[in-house]
Parts: sequence; C-alpha cells; structure tokens
Amino acid sequence: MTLRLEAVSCRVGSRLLLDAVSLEVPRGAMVAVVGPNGAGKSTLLRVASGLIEPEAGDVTFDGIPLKDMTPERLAMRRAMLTQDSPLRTRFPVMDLVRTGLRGVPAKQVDAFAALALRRVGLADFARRDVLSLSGGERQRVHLARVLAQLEAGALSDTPGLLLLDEPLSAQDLPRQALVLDIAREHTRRGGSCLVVLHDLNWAASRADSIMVLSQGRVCATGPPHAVLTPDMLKETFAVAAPRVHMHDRSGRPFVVPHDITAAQASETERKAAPCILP
Amino acid sequence: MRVAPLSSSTIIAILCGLLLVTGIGALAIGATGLGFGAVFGTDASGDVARLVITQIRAPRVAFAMLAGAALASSGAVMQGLFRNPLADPGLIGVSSGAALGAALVIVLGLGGLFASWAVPLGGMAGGLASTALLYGFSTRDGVMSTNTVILAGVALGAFSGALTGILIFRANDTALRDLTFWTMGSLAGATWTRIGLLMPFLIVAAVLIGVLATPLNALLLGDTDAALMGYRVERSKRLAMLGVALATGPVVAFAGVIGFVGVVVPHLVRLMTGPDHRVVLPCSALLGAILLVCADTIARIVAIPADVPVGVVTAAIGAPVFVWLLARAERGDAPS
Ligand SMILES: Nc1ncnc2c1ncn2[C@@H]1O[C@H](COP(=O)(O)OP(=O)(O)O)[C@@H](O)[C@H]1O
Ligand SMILES: [Mg+2]
Repeated sequence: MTLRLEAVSCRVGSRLLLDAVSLEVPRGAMVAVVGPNGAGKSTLLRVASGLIEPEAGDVTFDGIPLKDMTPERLAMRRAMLTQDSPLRTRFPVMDLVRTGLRGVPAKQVDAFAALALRRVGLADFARRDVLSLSGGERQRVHLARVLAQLEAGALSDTPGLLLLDEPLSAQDLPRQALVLDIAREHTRRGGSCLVVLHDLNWAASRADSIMVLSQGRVCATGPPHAVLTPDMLKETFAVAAPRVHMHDRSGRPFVVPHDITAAQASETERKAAPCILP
Repeated sequence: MRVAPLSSSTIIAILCGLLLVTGIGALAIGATGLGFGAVFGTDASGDVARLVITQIRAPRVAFAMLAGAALASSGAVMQGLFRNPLADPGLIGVSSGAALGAALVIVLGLGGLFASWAVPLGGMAGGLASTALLYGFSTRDGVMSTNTVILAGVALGAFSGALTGILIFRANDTALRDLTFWTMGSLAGATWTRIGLLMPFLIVAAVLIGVLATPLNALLLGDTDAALMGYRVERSKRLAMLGVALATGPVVAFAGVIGFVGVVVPHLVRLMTGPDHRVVLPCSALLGAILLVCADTIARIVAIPADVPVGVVTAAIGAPVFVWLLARAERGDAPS
C-alpha cells in the first residue's frame, strides 16, 4: 500500500505542529522519520494513521483520502504501535494480541495471535499477564497486536501500512534488529512502513529513505547517504563537529557517539537552526 | 499469575445454578416461616402463604435480582470505561442526581396522592438529568474526557448533596424518615407493577451493555489504541454512559442508594475470569443478582419484625470485602 501526504499542516491552538509536510511511502518501502524531541514526529504518525485530521493538506492510502474511510476500513489498512500504552489492568498476553484481530474467523484467531507472538520472540509468554512483563517485553506484545491487526486486514486486501513510533525505545540490541527486520519482512511482502527512530544508525542501516523533521518542517528527505550528512547533523541536531562514516559492506553511513557532545543541543542553538517557524 | 482456571462457560453455569438456589431459598425464608413446601405449592399452607410468596416475597426477590444485576454490570462497565478499578455507577452522577430528584418530590410533597409513583419518577428524572449534564460538561468537540467526568462527577455529587441537605432541613418528620430510608436503600417497596416499569429500561440497558463488551476490551488499552484498532471510541463512551444511566437510574429511583455492589462484584468476578468483558459483564450481572438477593434476605430476617435497609447490609459486608480486595491488589498487582 502507498501512503501519501501532501502539504499537510496541523495546528494545536496557535501552535503549528506540522507545516506543509509532504511525504510518500510507496508499496514495499520503509521510510524512517528522525528529528529532535518535539519535532512533530508522533504528530506526523497520528495524521498518517487517521487519528487526527490535518488542518490543511491531503492524506491518502492508494489514492483514497483517509477521511472517506470508515474506522473499520482504516483498521484493516494500517496499524500503529504507539509510544506508550496506558494499560494498567491485568490482561493475559494472548488476549491482548487477540484484541487486534477483528474480522478474523473465530477458529483462526488463536493461530493468528500465536503466530504474531512467535514473530516478536514471545511464543512462551502467551499465558503471562501483561503487567508482569518487562518494559521491552510489553512493547513487543503491543507490536505483536499491531502485526496481528495488519495480518487480519491482509486477509481481504493487499498488505497494509505499518506505523511504528519509536519501536526500539525499550529493546536491547538484538531485539532492536529483530523489530526492524520484522518491519522489513512486512515491506518485502508488499506492505509499507513509516517508522519514527531516534537512532540515526538504525535508520541509516535499514530504511530506504530518511525524512528529517524539525519544528514541524521537513528539513531533508532522501536515501540515507544523501540525508545523514555532517551539514544535517549540524543544522538539525546542533552537533558541533559532526563526522559521518561509511560502512564498507553495506555502503550506508553511520555516526559514532564519541563525536557527539550534549551542550550543543541547547534551546539557543535550536533557535539558530534554519528550520524555525516564523 | 493464574489465568482463568475454570472455563468461562463453567463459571456462568455455576453462577446460574447458584442464582436459582438463592432465589428459591430467599422465597422460603422470611418473617412468616413458610417452608420450601409452600414455595413449590406442595403442602397445604393455604392461600395466605401463597399470597405472601407470590405478592410479597417473589416480587422482592425478583427486584433484588434485577437491581443486583443492573448495579454490578454497570459497575463493570464503568471500571472498564474509566480504566479505574474504583469506578462505580455513582461516578456519573446517577445516584446523587436521583437522590436529589427523589428528595425534591418527598420534601416538597410534589407527588400528592401519587407519591408512590412520584418519588421513583423524580429520582429517575434526576439521575438521567445529572448524567446528561455531566456528559455535556465533559465533552468538547465530540470528545469526552474521562478525567473531567470523574472530577466533575465528584463536584456534581457534592453539589447535589448540598441541595439535598438543604431540602432535609426543610423536611418534616415523615418526609425525613422516607428520605433516610431512601438514602440507605431498601427493596421493601418492590411490587410486580414496579418491576414492570423497571423492565423496559433494563432491557434497553442490557442490549447496550451487551454490545459494548468487545469495545470495552479494546478501551482497556487506552482510547488511542482502541481507535487505531477501528473502534468508535466516542460512540462507545456515549453508549456506555447511556446504558449505565438507564440501568442504575431507575433502580436507584425505586430502591434508593445501594452501595458497594457496583464496585465489589466486578472485582470478585475478575478474580475468577480475568478481564474479558464478554465474560465479566454477564458474570457480574449474575453474581450481583445472587449477592443482592442474599443481602436482602439478611436484611429481611436479621431484625424481625423490622426490615433493615438493604444498603446497610451491602455496606456492612461490601466495605470489608472491598478493603480486602484493595490489600490483595496492593500485594499482587505491582508491575515490573
Ligand atoms: N495536544 C497537544 N497540545 C499542545 N501541544 C502539543 C500537543 N501534542 C503535541 N504537542 C506539541 O507538539 C510538539 C510535537 O509533538 P510530537 O509530535 O509528539 O513530537 P515528537 O517529534 O517528539 O514525537 C511538541 O512540542 C509537543 O509538545
Ligand atoms: Mg514522539
């Protein structure tokens, strides 16, 4: 499925959270969104998922405007892993994954849920209570629920859009790779994926293209080697003496933490950056 | 953690059996000792006994079942909707509004000759009106804030309480006694006619609440995730509030405020069944019915010939159970 945003603007009160953002995630592609805290990345995902309607601009799935789709139809075409879940009640892991499975024949529900749990490496956790899990395990349970929802939608249509908001935030190193590989597996089968990442290296190593968002505006967009540049690091992330390395085997760029200093990310520096709203 | 050691259909079957047994037991027990023979009409206990059972005890037992089911399933809905284990039907202002409505009728003597109808009708109107008020107050641009509902509900409850208090000052002795009895909750006024009046409300509420079982499961994950899974969150919230108001408003109007059933019963049920509302809702209704029949039977016989308000019994039993549940949750629920 292809997601397209055209000149999307979004406002809360008098604050412009997204300013004429355009973006395309074609079928089979994975696009990573990076940018400083508060740049509007989560807002972008909320707009792309149809949770909030933009003030201006168009959002379409395969050319169909989101506002013409029913909530049920939307749920079949896209699924989203949110940044945090307010779940405070006891909930068996298996039942939580099942809530994502609407419109699946009752006999297949358990098989779908079990498969989703296996994909995220939690096959043995089906009978556990969600509240008894670690933060990273819980995040992957929600990922399993989201994957199950997409699988259910794909029963009657082409694979849909996977939206992930900082899906690596609670994962250890091998699980970070697992999560992104699951997303790539989804795109390989004809789905599409828009993922918010903080780690530029993960973004550069897995995504087809990277979009840099700052203060609600698109600063750069394109393949990793074109976007992850010293200039971008300096302007968007206020890194003082940025260096970008090239990974020999993959030909993709990366940065090392040793070059990054914290003091540069102060508010005054940010205000000096070019992506400032009037 | 143990998840549902018994299958849900087994639990429902057991509860149905218990309901039958308590129902029959409650018919046989009372101020005039009539055995089980009278209940089944197999002995020669005569017309008086038949009358006592069909016209006094049976409507009262039936009313207790309906009220218990309505309060407990409403409580389960509220706790799911607000993701708050302390939520009870009173939270959306039904009880306090109904109390104010009833107090208005009792104290100002609005009912005249039709007082026995005017009080419940006043209560019903008060309950529904205050729920509507609360809903309007907490909704902006079609989005209801559950936090605002909780906070405004407390404020509205206190305000209705103050108005009711003013009315109490103006009340004469008879009105005061009626009022006191009503605020403590009693099923003594149950008649078949009143049950007939109650039924349409409860049927509509049962349909609404039944439809909500699956959306409520999704709402446990939060409004955002529920919306992302294709549930119509705002519509579900509206229907839930309407269902709860329709279920509890008339019950409170007829029987007064019967506390703790709505909070405690769903907790007890979840201990057995886990959080799935498709099981929790029917089981809460059944267990609520069973427990209120038991509580009302105790209320009828504990101080013969006096009829103790059933609200006193549910509070006396419910409060300690509630504290026990809280202590248990403190020990067992701690996440990571
Ligand atoms: N409902 C809201 N009201 C006011 N400000 C908001 C709201 N939602 C988000 N914001 C602000 O918009 C900015 C972008 O938010 P968000 O998209 O969550 O950023 P991030 O890129 O970190 O995900 C932040 O500064 C946040 O404070
Ligand atoms: Mg965010």
